[in-house]
This record gives sequence, structure tokens and C-alpha cells, in this order.
Amino acid sequence: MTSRRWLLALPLVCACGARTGLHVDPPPPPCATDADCDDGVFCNGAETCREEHCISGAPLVCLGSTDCVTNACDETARACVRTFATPDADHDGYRAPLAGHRPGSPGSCGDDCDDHAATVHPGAMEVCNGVDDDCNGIIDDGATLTPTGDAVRVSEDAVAPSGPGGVQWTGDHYGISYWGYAESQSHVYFRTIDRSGAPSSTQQQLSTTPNDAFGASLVWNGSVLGAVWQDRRDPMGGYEIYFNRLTPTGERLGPDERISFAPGFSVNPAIAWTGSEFLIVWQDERDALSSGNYAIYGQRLDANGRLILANQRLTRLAGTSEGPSIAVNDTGVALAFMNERNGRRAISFGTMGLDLTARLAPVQISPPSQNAVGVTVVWNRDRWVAAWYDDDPASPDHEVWGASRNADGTAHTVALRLTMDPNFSRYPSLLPLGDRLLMTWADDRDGGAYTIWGRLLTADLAPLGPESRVTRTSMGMSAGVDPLLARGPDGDVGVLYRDQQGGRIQAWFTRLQCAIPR
Amino acid sequence: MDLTTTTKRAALGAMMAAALGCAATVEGNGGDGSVHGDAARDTGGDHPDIPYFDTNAYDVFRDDACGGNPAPVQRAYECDPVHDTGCTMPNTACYAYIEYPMVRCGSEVYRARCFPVGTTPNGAFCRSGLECGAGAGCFVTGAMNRCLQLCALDGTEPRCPRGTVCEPSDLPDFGACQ
Repeated sequence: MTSRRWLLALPLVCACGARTGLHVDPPPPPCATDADCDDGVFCNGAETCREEHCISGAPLVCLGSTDCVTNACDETARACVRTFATPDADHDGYRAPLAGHRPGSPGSCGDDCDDHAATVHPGAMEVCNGVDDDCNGIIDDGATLTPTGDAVRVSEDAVAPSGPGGVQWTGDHYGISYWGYAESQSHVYFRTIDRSGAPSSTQQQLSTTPNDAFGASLVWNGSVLGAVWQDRRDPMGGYEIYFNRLTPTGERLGPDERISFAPGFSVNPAIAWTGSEFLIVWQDERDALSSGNYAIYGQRLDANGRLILANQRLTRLAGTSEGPSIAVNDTGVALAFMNERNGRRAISFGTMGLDLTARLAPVQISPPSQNAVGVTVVWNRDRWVAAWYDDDPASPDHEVWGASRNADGTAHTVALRLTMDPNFSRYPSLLPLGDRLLMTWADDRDGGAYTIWGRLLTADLAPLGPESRVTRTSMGMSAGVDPLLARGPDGDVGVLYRDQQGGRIQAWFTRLQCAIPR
Repeated sequence: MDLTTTTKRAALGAMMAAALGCAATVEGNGGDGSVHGDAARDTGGDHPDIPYFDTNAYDVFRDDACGGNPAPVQRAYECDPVHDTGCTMPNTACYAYIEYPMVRCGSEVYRARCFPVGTTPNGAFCRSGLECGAGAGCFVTGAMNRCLQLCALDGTEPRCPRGTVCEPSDLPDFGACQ
């Protein structure tokens, strides 16, 4: 470095005074002190002047670099500075892993499983919040979910019979939809339940015509609720599918959007949110009016509830396809439904893109010996999980079964029996918890009256804890069925179901409180 | 899964044919209620899109598609379809069905009448309630249209066979064992 500076001066010296004869002053000494040699760069070492010559210094050597930490000289700090391969964005003292690595795994360079939450890191206290706070790979370690307080009747006294439609936690309360008869006319209603499990609003009627409205399935997208139901307000149309967006308190945000326009019935809709669109699926009779067969149809809507393209036929299996359930992950959609042909009912499963284009054509996932119905499907961290029940009168067991599928739809876990008691079990509902699932179902082990039971399952559908009662029987009249689940605050779970307490069939709600043993 | 009867197509084919011929309402955009009702937003004016992420900017829509006075339902039960009583002619049975209104917001009529008894057993596929046997109806179950035994929703007799539940349907006074 120093020699270069001196060399540049030489041509100037040579170019001057040529006409006046050769008179060249002796070159200045290269240096007199070390300061004359300092190039201003710290990391290449301190230059020194020896015998009027600048001597380069020894670069600063910084030891201790690894794949995860680079220890290098920093000109600004004028010292060795360690640079980490991964950030500690939340400043909790724990670093995020490299992309594609599990936190804490070899070569991951970080063990913070959420670098955007300072309360989440190895060693943190695990609390009921649906989060793996201590980064041990287990969400809410060992948490129990216990029915807390008395169940509350959701549908008001005059609305009976009534039954569940949908339940979602909206950040401040549970939003609940249900159908019910008032003065012999069936409507869809909405009501809120607070975090303690108590009603926090009066019921309001969502359907505005008196013609047999049933539903509504709900989905919360972080801003509004999407609601879908069936009614036959159109004298020409039979049952058709309708959609609307609701505020968290159940007020409609526009006129109802009619989803299906076709001859025959369009019924049993389900709804999901992709992150940018609502997806609705239902069973539709339009293609086989004379046969009594249905196909599953789907419709996309944008965030403002506007239709995207037209109704799409999603199934083309022989026989009838009914009772669809839908689940969504970041890249695709799973569709599960019942398909009947030649008198046997089976559960079929297929996958689609987020735009409902087919990927994996539907395959049967229930054992061929079953008359399988009542399927529900969810996405649980890295796989799809479906559950259904065997409705075959001749079956030796009438139990709930389940199976899991990889993200691409291929088999992960073959069909397993999920309920073990010798009585009837039906109406399964699944709540994905990441490393586990909560399953609830109706079970008639109490002398012929159905009550709601629950059990935690591993991600591989193995039992995780005992079967536990969620609702109580009441004087032998109880018929607790059709449970629907929603993740609530603080790890709690809301359960909406239908019960027959006091002889009246109505929608009920109970809260499962999360607790972590210390 | 909601149960709906299939009676509108087959069991009451003649009646429905008449109803279809008299339909008076044509939906503009699909029966959204705003076309026929007193639709108005709280804020008035047109319908600006709801700001998607602004949870304080909900623009609530209100309407009453039937003018606040929906026609009351009517019942015309000539016999008891659950207990199959009231039919005196040989080889007849009592069947429940719904007579749907011919106009929007009209009242439904819940009827029960005697018809020739059907032979499709409970649990088997059906297209019409009249195919089913006495005390049964044909229901859209979400797991195949099937003949199902009717039941009393208040839990009184006849009760459903073990393992099945008296499911409410679009017949407000009766359920079906599924």
C-alpha cells in the first residue's frame, strides 16, 4: 500500500525541468516515523517505519469462525467482530435456525422456534396458548382440556329444534352460527359467546326469507367471517347455496351472494379461507336429476365476497358424491366426501390447487368393508387428517375411523380405528393442534343416549390420553351430537353441539379449558 | 349434516309441477334480498368495498327481504305420519310433505295425507317419500338419499333404533332416525 503511493509521485518528478539540465533533488525519505506509513486501514495491521522504509503490518487474525458464526475484523469497530449466520430478531437471546433447518437441529445455527416472539425460546415457560413456547417440539406440553362450567344453550328459548352451524374464535369472542325453527320457520342465526363461555350477545337472525334456511358453516379470515348456508328462498330453485360476509358480531356486510344456480338441490356446503379467497364446496344434483346422484361442486370468492369464475364441478366419480369437507394449507386444498356406488358408501379424498384445479384425483381412504359417512378433514402442520364413522348396520363396530395423507395427498397413515368402546360412535370433529389433534365425537355408551366425548391424538393418530367426557347426560334424554370445534384464547377450545336437554333439541356450547401440569 | 326431504320432486310430483308453473319471481342476481327488500347500508349511498384489513370500517348491510311480515306457515295434517294412523283405506299409509310457496316469501304448508304405501325399506336409496314404507320418508342425508323412519322430536315414542338419532329435518314437527 505505501509503496504504491510513492511510485505515483515519480513520473511528476521526471517530467519537470528537463530544459534546465538534469537537477533532481534526492527523493524524500520514504518515512521518518510510523505515522508516515499508516494507510488508515486497521484490519491489515499497523504499518511501521524501519530505516526510512515502510513495512506492512500483520493483518489482524480473528479466530473462532464456524458455519454459524463468522469472526472477522471490522474496520468500523477496529476489532474482531462475530457475525451470526442467523438473526435474533426478537432479541430474546436465541437465534432463528437457518432456512430449511429445524430449530436446534445439527447445523441449524439456531434453536429459537419463533424468532419473532421474545416469549418463545428454549427454556421459556410453556403456557396454554397453542404455541410451543419452550421450543421442545410440543405445543402446550402435556396440556389437558377440561370442560369448565356449565354448558350454555346458544339458541334462545323460542328457537327449537335447532342445531350447530359453525363456530370460530374471532379474537374477542366465539362467533357462532346455528339453524333453528321459530314459529315453524327455519332460519340461520348468529350469536357470540365470550372467552368464559357465556353468551355475550342476543341472537340475531341472518336469513331474511322464511324458506328453510339451514347452516351456516363459518370461517374467520382475520377480518371478517365468511358464512355459507342453504335455503330455498327461490321458488324456482329448490335448495341453493348462499354466502355472506359477517362482522365479528354477526352483522351482514352486503346482500347475500347466491352461489349455486342449477336445477335440483344444492346442499350441505362447507367453507374455507385460503389466505386470499373464500372456497366453498357443496353437493349438487344438477348433473343427474333423474338418478338422485350428486357431485361435489366448488366456488371461489375473493376477499370481498365476489365470485371468481363460475361453479366448478370437482368430482366425476360414478355413483353419488355427498357431504363434502374441505381443508386448506399454504399451497393446496384437500377435499373429502362420501361416495356411494352399488349400495356401498365410502370416503374419498383428493387434493386440488388453491384455485380448485385438480391435483390428486379422489381415492378411497376408508376400508372397503365399511359404510363410511360423515367425513371431516383438516390440515395439521404437515399432513391432511380425515375422520369418519362406519354407519353399516351390520358392522360389528360402529366406530370413528381416521387416516392421514401427506401434503401431496399420498397415503401417510392408513385407516385406523380411533374410538375403542363397544358402543356406537359417530359425528367426529377434528381440531388440528400442530403436533397433536383433538377429536370429539358423539358416543352412546351411556345407555343409549349420545353424549360428546373427546380425546387427544398424536399427529400419527395414536391415542394420547384417555377418552374423556365433554358433555354430561341429562336424565337419559340427552342426545349430544354434531360437535364442532374452534380454537379459542389461552389454548381453550370451544365446542358447539346439538343436545336434547329437557326434551328440546337445541344448539349448545361448552368450553374446554386448557391447563398445563406443573 | 342437515336433513331435507326429497318430497318436492317425486312424492308430490303433480303438486310441484303446478308450483313451478306459477312461479312469479325471477331473481336478478340470485335472490340476494336486496333486489326485493328494503336494502340500505347504515352509511347510506353506494356500496364501497369493505376495507379488507380495517376492522373498524365495517359497512353493515341491512335488509328485510320479506318486509318484516313473513307469511305464517300452515299445517294441514289429515293423518299422523309418525305413528301412521288416520288412513283407513287398505294399503295406504300416512306421508308427510311440504307444499312450497309459488311466490317469494310465501308460506309453506306442511301436509300429511294418505297415499298408497311404498315398499322401499328404511336405509335404502329412494327418490321419493312415497317409495318408503309406512312411518317413513325419503331424506337427503348427505350420505345418500334414503328412506328413514320418522320420529318425534320431543323424544316420545316411537324412538329411534339404538345407535341412530332423531335428526331434525325441514319438516318442523317430525324428525328422521339416522
